[in-house]
Amino acid sequence: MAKNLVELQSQMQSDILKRESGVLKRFSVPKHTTAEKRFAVYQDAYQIRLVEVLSEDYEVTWKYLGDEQFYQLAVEYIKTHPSDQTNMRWFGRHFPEFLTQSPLSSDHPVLTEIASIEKALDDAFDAADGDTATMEDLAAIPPEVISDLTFKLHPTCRLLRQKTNALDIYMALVNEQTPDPLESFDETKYTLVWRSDMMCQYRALDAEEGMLVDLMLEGKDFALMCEMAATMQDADSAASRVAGHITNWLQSQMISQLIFAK
Amino acid sequence: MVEKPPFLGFGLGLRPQHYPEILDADKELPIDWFEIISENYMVEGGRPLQMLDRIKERYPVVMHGVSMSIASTAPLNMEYLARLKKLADHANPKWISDHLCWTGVHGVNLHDLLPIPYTEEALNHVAGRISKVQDFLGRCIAIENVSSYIEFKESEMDEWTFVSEIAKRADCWLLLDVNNVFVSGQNHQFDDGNFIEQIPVERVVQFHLAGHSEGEDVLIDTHDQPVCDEVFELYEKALKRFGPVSTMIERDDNIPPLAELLDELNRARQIASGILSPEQLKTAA
Repeated sequence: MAKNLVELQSQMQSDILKRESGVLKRFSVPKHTTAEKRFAVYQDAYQIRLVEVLSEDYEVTWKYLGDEQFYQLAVEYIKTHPSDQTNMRWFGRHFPEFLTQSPLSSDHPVLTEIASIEKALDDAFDAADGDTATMEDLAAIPPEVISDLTFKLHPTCRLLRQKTNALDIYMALVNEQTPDPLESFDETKYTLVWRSDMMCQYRALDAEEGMLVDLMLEGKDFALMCEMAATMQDADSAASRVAGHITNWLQSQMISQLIFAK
Repeated sequence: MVEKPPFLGFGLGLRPQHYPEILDADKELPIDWFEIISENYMVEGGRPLQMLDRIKERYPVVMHGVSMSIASTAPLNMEYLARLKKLADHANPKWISDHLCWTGVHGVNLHDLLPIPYTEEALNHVAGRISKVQDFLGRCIAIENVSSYIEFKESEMDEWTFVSEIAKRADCWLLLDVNNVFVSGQNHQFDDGNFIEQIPVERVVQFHLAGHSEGEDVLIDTHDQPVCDEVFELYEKALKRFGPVSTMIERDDNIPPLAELLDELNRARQIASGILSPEQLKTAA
């Protein structure tokens, strides 16, 4: 084992992360400069690069917070979550969760939820490709098995369950508009994020549709979905409402597979 | 030694900002090949892989990574290498390259191309790792010289000796980054022309041309500026020594319109046509 190299790399990395200078004595630099100045290029680059990644991945969260607060949070995140990824694309994956623990989040409970929307969009962007079921697939299902029909969501789908008007604030900021004031709700606000035709999409779901997508994720069948829909709104039209949602999901490329016993 | 891959001509680093211009162009663009950043396509699916599939139908592709960390003392990241191999199976690149550097230890990635001392110990360590990677990937890889801002007191040889010896011991190819030679030459006050003269001709399969920035008493390899005149002058020297070597403009930040990069690429082409014969400039395609 390259013992000297092991020790050198450990010290150099530690000094980059902690902005310390123990390793400087091992460097050789021209007379017109100093080892400290030259090493600072590496020390500065680490933080600059990762702040930049966070500000690209969480651009709307940054807009909401403003430069100073976002920078403070980004620096704190970098300190507490050194990158362990070979691609910086995933460096910020814990950022929404980190925001829930930040003292700033108690003032801005919406922060985590805005960041979660951004993360879900990033995740949908390069999530696995998958089949997309079509209306023709639905039409081919024998009527006698329709009540047992279950659904496999497209691998790019992410269902967010939120408690604030984060989506409205997110949309206002994306469109360069002044967002409404923060609102918190007792009931769950559902947002669905997915990819169709290689483009990331998102939309709010009402309570009934949110519940139905939740049931889909749990592998529940069409009959149960109709039963549950009947408890939410008019019972007589429950089956046609669920059918309407399924049509919409198929047309939006949200469903990978229609599963039924043959 | 594995036979060198063919001369591909003049290429560009593939950047998402240019996908539409490249794929929707009415006429053939004066680009002979593309280099992709491997990590950006080591994903499950979506647009990056879709774009790669369309590009590779029309252009030769090479893969260039930033996270192999070949000079690290941490164990080789086999999960990373498996994903790299999977991408190579998909992309069918003419070759794969990464940097002569380390990016972190103890499970951390500093996302930087960190230098190592030029010692016999490091030579053995790095050459051994390159051999293991080549065995795992089942192919010869190209290793790129990096820009550096510090040198080590314990170094026992020059960078060019170290780079040449690595290539010989690991039996790998070299990607000569002309800008990195210039930047390190300025930063460490060595003769960049001499560096070029000391690198073995038979090992070099690719040239990078890139821009850099000026810091306080230091040049920094930022890839966010056009290639400067001095780097083009050094490129001319490199062409005289190495002959036809696949050349590309590497821009990673402050990405300009494609036309600006094509102008830079055209300048490289013109320099090459003043040095190499039409026969030498014929590409494999």
